[in-house]
Amino acid sequence: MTTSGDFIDPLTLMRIKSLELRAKAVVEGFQSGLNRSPYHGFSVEFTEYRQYAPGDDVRYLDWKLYARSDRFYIKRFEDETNLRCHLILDMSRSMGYGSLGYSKADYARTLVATLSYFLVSQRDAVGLVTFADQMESFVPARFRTGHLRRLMVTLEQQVAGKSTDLDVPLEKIAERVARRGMLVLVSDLLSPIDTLENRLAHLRARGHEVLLFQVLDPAELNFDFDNPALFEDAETGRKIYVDPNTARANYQQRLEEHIAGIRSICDRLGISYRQFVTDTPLEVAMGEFLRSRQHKGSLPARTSAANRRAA
Amino acid sequence: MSFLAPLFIAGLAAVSLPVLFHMIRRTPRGRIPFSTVMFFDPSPPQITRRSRLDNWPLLLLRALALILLAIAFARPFWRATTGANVAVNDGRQIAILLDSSASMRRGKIWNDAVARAERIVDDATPVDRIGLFTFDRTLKQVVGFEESSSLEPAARKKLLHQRLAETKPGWAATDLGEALQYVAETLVATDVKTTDQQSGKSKEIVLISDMQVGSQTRPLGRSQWPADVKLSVERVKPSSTTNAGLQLARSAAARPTEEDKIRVRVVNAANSTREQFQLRWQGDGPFYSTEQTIDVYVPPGSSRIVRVPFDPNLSSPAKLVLTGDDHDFDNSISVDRTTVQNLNVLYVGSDTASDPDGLRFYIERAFPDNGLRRVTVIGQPPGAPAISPDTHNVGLVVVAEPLLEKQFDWLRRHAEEGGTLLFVASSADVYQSFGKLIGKPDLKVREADVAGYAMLGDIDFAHPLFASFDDPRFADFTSIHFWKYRQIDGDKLADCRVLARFDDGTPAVVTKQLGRGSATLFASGWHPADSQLALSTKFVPLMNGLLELNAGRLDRQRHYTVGDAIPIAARANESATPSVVHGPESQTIQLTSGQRTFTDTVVPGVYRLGDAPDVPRFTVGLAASESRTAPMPVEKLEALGIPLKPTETPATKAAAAQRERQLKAVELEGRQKIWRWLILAAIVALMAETWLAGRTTKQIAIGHAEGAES
Repeated sequence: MTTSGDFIDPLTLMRIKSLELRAKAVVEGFQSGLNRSPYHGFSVEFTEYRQYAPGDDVRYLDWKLYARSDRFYIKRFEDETNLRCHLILDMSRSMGYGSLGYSKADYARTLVATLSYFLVSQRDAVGLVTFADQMESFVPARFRTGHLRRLMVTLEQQVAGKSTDLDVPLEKIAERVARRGMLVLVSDLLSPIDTLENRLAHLRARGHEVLLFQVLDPAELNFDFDNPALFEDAETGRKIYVDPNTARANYQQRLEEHIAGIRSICDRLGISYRQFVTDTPLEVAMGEFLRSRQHKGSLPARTSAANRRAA
Repeated sequence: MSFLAPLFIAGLAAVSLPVLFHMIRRTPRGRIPFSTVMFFDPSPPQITRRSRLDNWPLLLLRALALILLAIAFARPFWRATTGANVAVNDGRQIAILLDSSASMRRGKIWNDAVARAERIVDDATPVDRIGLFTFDRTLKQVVGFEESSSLEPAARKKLLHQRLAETKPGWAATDLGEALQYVAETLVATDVKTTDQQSGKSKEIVLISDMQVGSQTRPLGRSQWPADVKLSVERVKPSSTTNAGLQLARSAAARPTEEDKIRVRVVNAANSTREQFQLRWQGDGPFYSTEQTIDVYVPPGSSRIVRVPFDPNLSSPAKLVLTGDDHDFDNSISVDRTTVQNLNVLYVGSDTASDPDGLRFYIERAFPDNGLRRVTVIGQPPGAPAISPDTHNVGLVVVAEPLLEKQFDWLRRHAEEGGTLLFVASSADVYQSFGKLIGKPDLKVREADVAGYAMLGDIDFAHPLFASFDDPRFADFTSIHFWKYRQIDGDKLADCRVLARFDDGTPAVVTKQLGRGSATLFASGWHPADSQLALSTKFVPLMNGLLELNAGRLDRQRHYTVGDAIPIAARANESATPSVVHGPESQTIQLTSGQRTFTDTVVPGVYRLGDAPDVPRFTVGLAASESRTAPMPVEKLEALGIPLKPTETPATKAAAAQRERQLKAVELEGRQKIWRWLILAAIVALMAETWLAGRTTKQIAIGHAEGAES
């Protein structure tokens, strides 16, 4: 990963206590570059006319059109905002690991906060779901005064959960987030992925656009430990004696297999997958996020609608 | 192999330490919390190269060093090999000190005491040296160390038994202190005489005594007790403890008005159980009969003075007996008639007895009467033709004025027969008379030139006249000031003994033996014009000393205790020294010619000096202290600095045996000193370990460097 001198070093960023300030710093730095970027402004309003059918709410009848054409049309607004985004944050204990002076959870929280700030500043509705083995908190996607604050407060909560279990939280989210929108899952995904495909497929089936951000510590990737030690699993507490010199290759191979598995799931389901290593500046991460959005081409709903139509 | 400090063997457990450290090293240094372990192999950790014991020689060397150290600290020694040299029993040096005082006559305690002594003799090992001593007022060596150690064990035992059987308790008082001190010194002295090999003997005094409270312990506190001499006390106890004693009170018939009574003291021991006793005369007399008893009530631990009717004109000594107690060794006293001795002091001088400025005034008052002596001062004016030869019993002649020619002969003869003459040189003429008497008629006497006052100094306390002042409390004569005295020029009195000098060196008191008597000169008078002598406390003892100088103390005391030495020297004007003394149990003791004291007063009773019917008699009684038969606490001896050997019980015996074993072990170990070799071996092992470790480290470093280069 390359880091630019223009960006804020993650370690420096993490020293900012307030999550909101952190997000602001990232977004402003990012936006200052964004002004020159070609990807500015993708929010578009959408309306649709549909022939009135009995049972429709008469409040949405377009009387002007009726006056012009003498036909009843229901004026349908896509939404008040252009994007409904739910940020799903993994707060399990494995996220508490960090070799750089800050944990993956810190990084992920900042990332989520930054996204929130960025989306709110674009007048999008942002919701937040935190989970570990259960769903810890659920903030529905809204756009209103003070909502950003509420998100920040929820984010401030410390890593409290135990193990990572994606099944139950993703199922719950599927139940509670009825409207189609964007779901951004931020997790280290260091748990068995046997059922991950089903859950994500379920979400996709409900029309959500799903982004998967995997946050990993460089130590997890490189496994650059020297001395043999008793490695203790942060979630299960299981201890295994490992001599890194001998176990490194095996570990890295298995990790790569794991990540490859996730990638293949994402590819199959049309899920945008990004891997964030915690020593990457967040601006870069944001840039990549936007680039992936741009790569998708259009707004999620429309895209999905276009896809459906195309299908 | 045995160990002196086997606890240190526990240090062998330290051998496990290197292995233990190794085990600790095998386990990971710490725990690393990690996000997940799902990518690790679930199999147990491999034994890495580090976990193996890869340097056995190092481990063995370290373990060896530790083992050697642990064994060295445990102080090993070989019991079997050299034990024989050390296990030699040095033996003991035992002094059996048997109390043979009068109080040992109570009940069966003497037999008990002898039995105990015999048991000690029987228990002694052949290497022990045994001495047997008895003591009462004096210490008697019955069997000496040299004598006993020169015999075979069987013969020695037989001899000791035989001597023990011959020993009988006496009648004398108990001088425990002197006896212990002497025996302790004997023990040390005889040990020093022996070779070095035997100086390791433990010295022990076994005191077999009733330990009565009346025992004299005086010399013990004064001198240092030999540190290596232990005392063990075998106390013998009578079956019954009530004991009352009877003694003549001092100056028994002191009061002239009570001539028909004597005063006796009845003492009841502190541990008596009775307090009612009776006194009764044995024999007949005008004032008493054997039927008549006097009841005496004496509580335990106290004494009473009783006035007993008595015939002063008794023809032969009578016996007063006390009854009512358990032990009768101290229940009778012999009482003789008290004859008052009339002594005359001739005063040759013209001054009257009532003139306080003269010399006679003070002489008249210097000889108070007591119950045994009546002194009369007879004035002899110098103008009188001669001293009357009829004057008998002249104890002292005081010459205060120059003598006439005719007086010299009588005085010289009187002195040669044992009389005492005192010349008081209140004038130079008297001094010259003294010179003339002693055969130096041409003495040039002059008045001394005294600046202020003179004092007495350089006093010969060895002479009997001043012997009674030989004590720091009484020896100070400097408070007596002399204003005037006489002196002669030159060394004319060389053949006289100077008893005192003035502070300028002039002789002050000079004496010269004349035949059996003596002539003494005072170079100054004692009257106020010459000096303060008459007013000082020294005057009366000096004058009485002169009076008794040749007469001895026989006249003053006619009652003695057993063991006292009795002066038998004939006095002036008395018959010659007797050649035989008749004792109380009709024994006859022959005296050697020239013997001046009689010391064989071993039995209480009446002694007669000589064969004639009207010879002087004296009674010998028991010492008053012997009647105090309450037991003395042994701790008193301990308080006087004598280390007591603890009484032996099985427990203490076992402890002593254990201690002895330990001591032997210490000695063996000290000789063999195996620990030094072990320490040396440990050092060698450690050096080898250091070398090996250094080499190994170097090799590893080289290996690493080569690895890094490649």
